Amino acid sequence: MAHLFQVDRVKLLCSCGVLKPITAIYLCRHCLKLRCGNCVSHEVDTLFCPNCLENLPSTEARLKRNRCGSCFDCPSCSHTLVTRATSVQTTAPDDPSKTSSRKVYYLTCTRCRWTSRDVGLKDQTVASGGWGEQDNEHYRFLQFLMEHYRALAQAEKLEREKKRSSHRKSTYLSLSDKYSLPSLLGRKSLTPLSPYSPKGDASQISEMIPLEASSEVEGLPDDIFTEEVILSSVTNMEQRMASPEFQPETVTELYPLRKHILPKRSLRCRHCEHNLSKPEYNPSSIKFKIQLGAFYHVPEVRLVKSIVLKAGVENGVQISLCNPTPHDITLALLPFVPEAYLQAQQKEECSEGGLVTQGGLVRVVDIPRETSDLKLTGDVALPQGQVILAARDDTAEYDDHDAASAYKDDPQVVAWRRANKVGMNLLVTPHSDTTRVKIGLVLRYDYTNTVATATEARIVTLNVPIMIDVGPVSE
Amino acid sequence: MTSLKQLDPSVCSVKVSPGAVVCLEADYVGDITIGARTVLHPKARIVAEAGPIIIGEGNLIEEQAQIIFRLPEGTEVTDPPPVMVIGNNNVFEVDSYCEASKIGDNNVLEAKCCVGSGVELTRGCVVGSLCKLQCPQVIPENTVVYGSQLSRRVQTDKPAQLTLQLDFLTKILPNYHRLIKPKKKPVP
Amino acid sequence: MPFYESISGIGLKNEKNITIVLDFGAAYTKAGFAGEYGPRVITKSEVKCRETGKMVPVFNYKGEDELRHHLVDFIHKLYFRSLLVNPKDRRVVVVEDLLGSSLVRDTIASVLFRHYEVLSVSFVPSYLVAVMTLGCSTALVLDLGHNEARIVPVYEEVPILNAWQALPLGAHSVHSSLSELLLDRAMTICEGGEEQRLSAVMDELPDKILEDITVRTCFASTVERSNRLQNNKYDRSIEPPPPPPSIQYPLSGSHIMTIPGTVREMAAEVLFEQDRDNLCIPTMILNAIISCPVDTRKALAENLLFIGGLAELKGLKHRILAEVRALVTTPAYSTLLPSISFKLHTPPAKDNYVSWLGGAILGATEAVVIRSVSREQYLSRGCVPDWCNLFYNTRDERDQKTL
Repeated sequence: MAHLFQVDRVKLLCSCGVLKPITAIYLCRHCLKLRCGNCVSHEVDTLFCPNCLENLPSTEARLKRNRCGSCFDCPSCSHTLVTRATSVQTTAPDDPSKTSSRKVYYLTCTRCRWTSRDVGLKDQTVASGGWGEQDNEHYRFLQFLMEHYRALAQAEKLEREKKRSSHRKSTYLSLSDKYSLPSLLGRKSLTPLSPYSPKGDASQISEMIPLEASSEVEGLPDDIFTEEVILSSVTNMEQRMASPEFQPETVTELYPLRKHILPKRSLRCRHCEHNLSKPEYNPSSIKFKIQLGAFYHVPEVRLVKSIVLKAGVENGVQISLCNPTPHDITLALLPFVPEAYLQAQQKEECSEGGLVTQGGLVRVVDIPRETSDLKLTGDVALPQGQVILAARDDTAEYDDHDAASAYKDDPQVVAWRRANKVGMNLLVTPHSDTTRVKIGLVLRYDYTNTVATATEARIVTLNVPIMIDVGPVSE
Repeated sequence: MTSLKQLDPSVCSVKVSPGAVVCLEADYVGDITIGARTVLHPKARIVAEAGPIIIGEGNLIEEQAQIIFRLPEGTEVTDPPPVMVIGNNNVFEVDSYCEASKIGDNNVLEAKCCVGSGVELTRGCVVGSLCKLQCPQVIPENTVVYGSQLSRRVQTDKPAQLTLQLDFLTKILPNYHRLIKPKKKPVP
Repeated sequence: MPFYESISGIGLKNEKNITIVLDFGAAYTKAGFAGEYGPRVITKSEVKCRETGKMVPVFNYKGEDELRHHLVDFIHKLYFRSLLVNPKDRRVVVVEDLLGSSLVRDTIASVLFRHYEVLSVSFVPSYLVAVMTLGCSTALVLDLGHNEARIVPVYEEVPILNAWQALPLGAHSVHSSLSELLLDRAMTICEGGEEQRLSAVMDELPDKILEDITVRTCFASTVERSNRLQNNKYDRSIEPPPPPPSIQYPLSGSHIMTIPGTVREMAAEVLFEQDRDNLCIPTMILNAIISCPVDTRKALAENLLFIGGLAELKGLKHRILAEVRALVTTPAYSTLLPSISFKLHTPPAKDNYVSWLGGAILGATEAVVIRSVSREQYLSRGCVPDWCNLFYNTRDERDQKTL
């Protein structure tokens, strides 16, 4: 019997309205609601280099412009570069007859066979740390420009504060207080009343030498009409955009790029500000400090067999329910009516929204609700009655005692039972004129809240709407 | 006890120069000449249907590499038959497929690449892994073809020396595989 | 620039987080930090569509919701792949187009404030900040983008908005003209070795290949050659100029396309062909100057600035200047613009990120604190101030008193 690991067949409806498979949903234990990647807030947790797996603290990352200090990427194909060593015979300067060999290092790409010698970089004598950086040719001018504008803005700010303290009544310039753009256009004349023109404290602001326009512009090189273009020596767009400040046009100017570092993200629920997922600090570890995935807290629904449904008749579909928690779960399957559910959600949100602002916080946490395709294309007859799922017990497979007999199951409801899993039979009738049958159901189960405070109930009943893509309909 | 494989003279005729290490366990069809110091691994496949194949010196042909010389359907057989010439110091990595009619020196055909007939490799070319070159063209010297989009660039580095690897294989392979014995006199 | 040093290390005096500067473009988006001399990343404006899973351009949307989804996903990619900082409680400067869509502007603001909880957003006009990078206060800015070519003159740091000009001539029109020419004239070598016309092999060329061909092989020809080519079109007896060499361009493993030399030259001609209203890029420049007040015209003409990705096409700037100088002598313009001279600026950055650089300069000063909309202001008002929103742009009684 093949279990279907196709995660896209069974989707849960998140509290923000998005349909996601169980692997992409989290359960916030404090709000007792489902959250997904769309409605949580993402944060950058730690930064690391994907090649050398070295952690970078955020201040260092800012200085190094989010690049690793020792790893490089090939500028031609963005593969990771490898440092190779060759030995070079050198003569000692004082004694020409004595030759000593020393190791020199160069960078090479194993994918496209680019080497640092292609661009004319000399081989380094140290294995790492010897490779320098390119210089932006406009660096001096830009530095001067930044200082100049910074000084101007400071002067404007001081003047504004002076004016504000001296003139109580609102002046013409106060229009530019609140609004950015219209202040520029609100000027009635084009006389240089702009805040950037030097006035008053000219001594503080250095003279800006603006760039000169030239009447002659470099035209096409003459040989463009006669010379053959060698395609492999002209860079393409990706190679140019990889170093935005330089954008080399020929392949001989491609400089090795320092490797870009990657972040580890942590997720936080917007409503209660608790972490839903927090990775470990060590870059080579894939575990989490906190991982509140729905996979570990919500019973998982899976389709047992892949079938093709016949139109117009009741088809038998079997689903399996699995209990991932170490407590027994009592669950029931209820019918799902999308419109009624959405209305109930909206009512709940209105009442909740009032609570948030009552606290005096202007913190608005709502992101717009998404609408997903909740169109049901099949009717489903659900088995009535409650089912108890056994707790997840890792030793069950070694235990010969057949725990399944402890539960008296109604054969109409439960098809089979194995450890913490149960199989149930549904009867699905496809609607007319559908090619793929989608059914909906609401899973009501008792969740044991292990972090409940004294005032909250320990066992809470939760409802999870689920959409199942059962399969195609045969003609 | 399975019977030892023998070369069937009606199917193939393999002339091996002294110094070459040519395994018996490979598939041979047609008239094949192999130069000195070339190493041919077992499970390689050399099919010379349309005419003889002449392999030069110092080549390395690894497992599952296929060198096929087949004329496309519909072309007439000329007399004398066309010859496929492979130069010196080439490397045919594992599972590479080559139908090119002319290969020069110092080329590398990386694993699982496919070079169709009509393509001509000159000198120092590298055809990257999984690259399929089907269109008839002449690849200029020192070109590297790589990536799924078959990007090209010209490499300036000299192709790596194979001598160490060939020496090692020449010493080790005879201990584990049966070889085709070279002819007493060298092949002209 | 030395690796470890950047002005951003100093930053604004009271700020603990450095401002982010974003410049959304139809084809490429530039993102980086204020105070730095170049964007951290220039990436294609593409996201994975939530429904189909394919990469689509961010600004191809069918409805407001789809635009919002694209922007949420795209800004997520910018922050968590390239910038690697938390969006929360940081200021953002968005370099925007004054003539752009209001829907896009409002959606960007809504996504940044609601979804990403940024501290404040400041929308700065791209033409104005581009002028800032030169250190001047006056320039006629021509932005050659992907979808459109736009002109807004800036005089003494004030954009003269009523003199705006826009034409749908951009990189995409060069691509489509290239595609037409290639399907018409190019040949491909197929697997069997036979040559076929390109149109027999495929119906259209993918965008990526067209962009690659334009960037690597095409150029804008000179005025004389273009005239000769045009005359040859109408009168076959006049000799066309000898074409530049053709190029073998591998399309995939099984096809190699031969790009004829004339196609390389002619692809960019679409920018200079006058359409039915007699408009093209050179006329745009002159019309913009004419729409400006008389005393500003000389200064604007002597301070031209071409920005945008398409401006990097080889020979384009020279050609535009030559065409403009030829056009100003024609009877239509010579009476309005007598004795005018044209001069062109070279910005201290590559053309495609000049406006980003201007935003970065602005973002590093105190002006960004004054001129931005904070989160509280946005949430209480529900919208950002806009020049076309009359709520912010009408005369007030206070104005009457001060004048």
